[in-house]
Amino acid sequence: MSLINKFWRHAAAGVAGVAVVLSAGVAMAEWPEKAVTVIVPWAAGGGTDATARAVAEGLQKKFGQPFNVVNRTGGGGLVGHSAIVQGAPDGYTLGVVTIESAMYEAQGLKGVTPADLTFIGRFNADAIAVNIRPDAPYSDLKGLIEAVKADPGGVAASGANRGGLSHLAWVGLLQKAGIDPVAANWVASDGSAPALQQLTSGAIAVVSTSPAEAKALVEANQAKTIAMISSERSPLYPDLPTSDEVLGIKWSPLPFRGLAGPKGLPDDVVQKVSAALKEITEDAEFKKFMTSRGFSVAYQDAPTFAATVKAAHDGLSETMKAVGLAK
Amino acid sequence: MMSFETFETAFFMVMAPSVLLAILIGSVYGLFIGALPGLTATMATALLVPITFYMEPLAAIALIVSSTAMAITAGDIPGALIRIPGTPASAAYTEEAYEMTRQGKAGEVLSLGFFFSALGGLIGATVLLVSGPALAQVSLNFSSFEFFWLATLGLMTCALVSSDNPIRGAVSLVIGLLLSTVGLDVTTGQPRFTFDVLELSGGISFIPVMIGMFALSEIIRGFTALERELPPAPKVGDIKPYRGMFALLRRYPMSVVRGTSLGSAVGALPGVGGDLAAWIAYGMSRKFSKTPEKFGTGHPEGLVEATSSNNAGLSSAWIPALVFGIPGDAVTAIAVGVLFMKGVSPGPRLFIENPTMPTAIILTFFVANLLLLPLGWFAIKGARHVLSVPRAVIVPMILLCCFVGSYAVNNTLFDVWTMLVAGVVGYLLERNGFPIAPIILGLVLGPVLERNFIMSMQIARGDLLGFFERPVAGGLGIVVCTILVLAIHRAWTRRGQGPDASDPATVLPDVPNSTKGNLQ
Amino acid sequence: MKLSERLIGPGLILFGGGVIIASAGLPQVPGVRFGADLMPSITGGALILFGGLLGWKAWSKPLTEPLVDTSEWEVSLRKRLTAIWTIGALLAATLLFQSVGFPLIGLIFMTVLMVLMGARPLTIAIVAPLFVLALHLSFTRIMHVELPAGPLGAFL
Repeated sequence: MSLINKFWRHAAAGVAGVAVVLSAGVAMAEWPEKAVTVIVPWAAGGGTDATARAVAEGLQKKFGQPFNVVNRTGGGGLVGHSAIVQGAPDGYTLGVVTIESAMYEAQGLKGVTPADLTFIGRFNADAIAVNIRPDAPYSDLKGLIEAVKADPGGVAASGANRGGLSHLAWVGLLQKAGIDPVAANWVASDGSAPALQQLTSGAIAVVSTSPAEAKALVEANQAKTIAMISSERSPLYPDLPTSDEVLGIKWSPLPFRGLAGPKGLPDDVVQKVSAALKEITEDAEFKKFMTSRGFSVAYQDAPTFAATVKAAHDGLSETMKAVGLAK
Repeated sequence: MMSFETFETAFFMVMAPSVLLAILIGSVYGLFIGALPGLTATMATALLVPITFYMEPLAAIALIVSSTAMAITAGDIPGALIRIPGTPASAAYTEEAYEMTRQGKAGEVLSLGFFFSALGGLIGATVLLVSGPALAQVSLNFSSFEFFWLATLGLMTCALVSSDNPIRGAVSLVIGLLLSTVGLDVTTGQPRFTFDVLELSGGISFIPVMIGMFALSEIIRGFTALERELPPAPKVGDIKPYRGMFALLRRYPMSVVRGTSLGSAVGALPGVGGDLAAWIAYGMSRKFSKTPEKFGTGHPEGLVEATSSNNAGLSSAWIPALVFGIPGDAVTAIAVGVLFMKGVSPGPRLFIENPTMPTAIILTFFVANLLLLPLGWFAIKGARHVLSVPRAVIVPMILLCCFVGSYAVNNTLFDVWTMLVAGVVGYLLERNGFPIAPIILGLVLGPVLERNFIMSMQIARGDLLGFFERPVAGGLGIVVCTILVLAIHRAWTRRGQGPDASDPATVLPDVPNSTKGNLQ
Repeated sequence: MKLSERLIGPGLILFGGGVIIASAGLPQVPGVRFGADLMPSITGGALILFGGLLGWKAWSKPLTEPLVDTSEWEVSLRKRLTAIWTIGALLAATLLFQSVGFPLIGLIFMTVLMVLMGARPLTIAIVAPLFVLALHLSFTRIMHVELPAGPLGAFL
């Protein structure tokens, strides 16, 4: 194509752009006509990143445009979530959101609330598990809780940042079991990998993280997963008891991973991506990949996902206040 | 450890044309990325992920292995030629390497980088092959207490070796540590020193700071009376790649041994990895050297030790990732993700159920590191062209690279601002005799130090004796305290001997700090 | 600009003090004994200590150098202009980057700087556009870094 031709094509695109502004929504029918950025608020190589890349690959196949995954990490996910919120709502900036997006507000962190996002669909939800050392003096959740009761400060636990879901899941569990959550010794870490390192080295006693992330260490007999913090057993780990059945409590914080965009994302983009996400989650190869890493596939469409986030936002805020993580 | 059949099968897997081709492409790509300032090995790897979708597992990993090995080695090139370190590790010896270039030894310093990187990488890969799982077992026993002492050791050696005046080195280090505290605090999740600027909540990224403080500050200095002239470019044929490398090897055999063993050991520790190894290696080299006064004046000894530790650490960073699925850094994290996507689950079962796969991965390290030499040959030959570009052309080029490189880190202009401010501040600091390198290390290791310190304090519930209770932590702690006491003692006795010889004010004001040693 | 240690020492002490005061104002979270303020306070203390050492040494011996030395800027007018253009243009480039785009900004920046630094016109005419183009293409096409294209984007 000659330069002149190219210039005219771009000029035409520019005029078309103005036309779009004037008659909002008409030209959007052609989405996506260029590469889409998918922001991941967590580090490359982690669970969110791995699942996001698999989803992005699927979207790329469906729409024939590149879906570039960009990791924007830092601040317990706040930086990346903020980047999604601040993206232009034109469908070319999407992101993978996690349950933390519903928790920042209660922690007093500014920039991200569920109202700032347009939710497109959920593709994964896995409960948090309790992991201990294989040579610990207790071998099940009951024994562990007894040990914490005897010396709340002596049983150090970790998982991720203070105020994140893994922290909340653990102190929430303690609170429901009748232990003062403020007395518990939470060792803030940068994520599940450093927390598991502390566990294997014997510096701490408990790590709360998804069973997928502890899988390799459990297989190496360096760690032991004793229970899921949930109300129902996971189909992927049918042998793991839940905290509800062991302790007779009700506490099931469920972290999720889903697609979202900035507030005001055009409806047809949401529809298209949500429908594509549904197809991806039903794809045999995608399912195989997720299962091999220990992640479950749990699709929700846009309205259901938004309701889930809203429920998490309202429900968790209460517990966060109760355990002293929110004002 | 492993059967011969396993080795043989793995060997032929690696020799498959598709794998060899992946290694070649990865290396060329890594050379390109590493030589461009601002683009890191992590970024190089991340960009490869979509391509690996369409490849076989081994070829995919070979692509990542070779591109990172090459990118990290090639990161020394802009450091040596135009004083822009490619990685935090190469910031440890950028000043020394640049000094050699200024003395007209560009060919030697680049040859040295590639030769000893390849050597270190090959030795590191051997360590990985022989003792991978055993080393992984050891590394799993490192808790925040040990990490805290290791980080302290690295920071302290850096402050002590980067300047003739340890107090000035320490001030730089503290400034770096202070910069690292900006952002959302990991303990409480609250913003700290962010002044309500959203970009600051992610912290100050070290790449723009590094580019600004090393490269931009050098350009600013070029506009003043302190301008440092580069020597005329060597003539065609004057640069002879790898000449004299075996002589260096014979002269400093212990440096190679120390560098590679340190790199292998420290690299295997998840989270600390390669960044730290080069700094400790450089400091250790000076400590054990017969001629420590030559360090900082364009002396190859420290470079030999630091570059060989660099690539040795690169290989062993894969130990915790492969054996336990705990990635030590972003690169291995991405690689673990790719392996999972390919249906290969890293972990102990991999070594039992499918030992040819990890063996083949380790073998790709050998090929990738061997390939450093021929590709490096072209890079070294090409260096002449960079040096022969007139100043009026290369300075604008460097500035544009600094600009785009900083922007590319996060796709934000905020990082460009960071780079500009860092450049001016870096110029002022150097003009006043404060070394730059400790700031960079402080910024990189600050979060590691703080997190492990706070974690340890939480675990020990405030009891400082807890830092000495675990055997390894206790040993490391005693080493750190001894070095500290010795340094204070030496500073004290030197103060007693007449006028302050180490005071920068008494030496030529216009030489950068690191060259003062031999001018007094 | 080079400052005497007589100034640097007290300056570091003031800075360190400021850091400690600012850390004390950081939000406290109940139940956290070792929080956000611990590390900054330690670095602030270290700055005070080192500033004290430097200042004490400088004040305890006679002054041999000017308190503020800016002699390095006594250079030719052309050099000073180049320095001012470089810094000014970098600031302007950062401010206008999104709207004007990388190709145009890079081209103007390089051309003027090369003229000021005394490159030959032919060199400038060849090198500046080619280098900017190469940089732009390698970052946008190979590295997927989204550099704003600006008005010249239509031709790339």
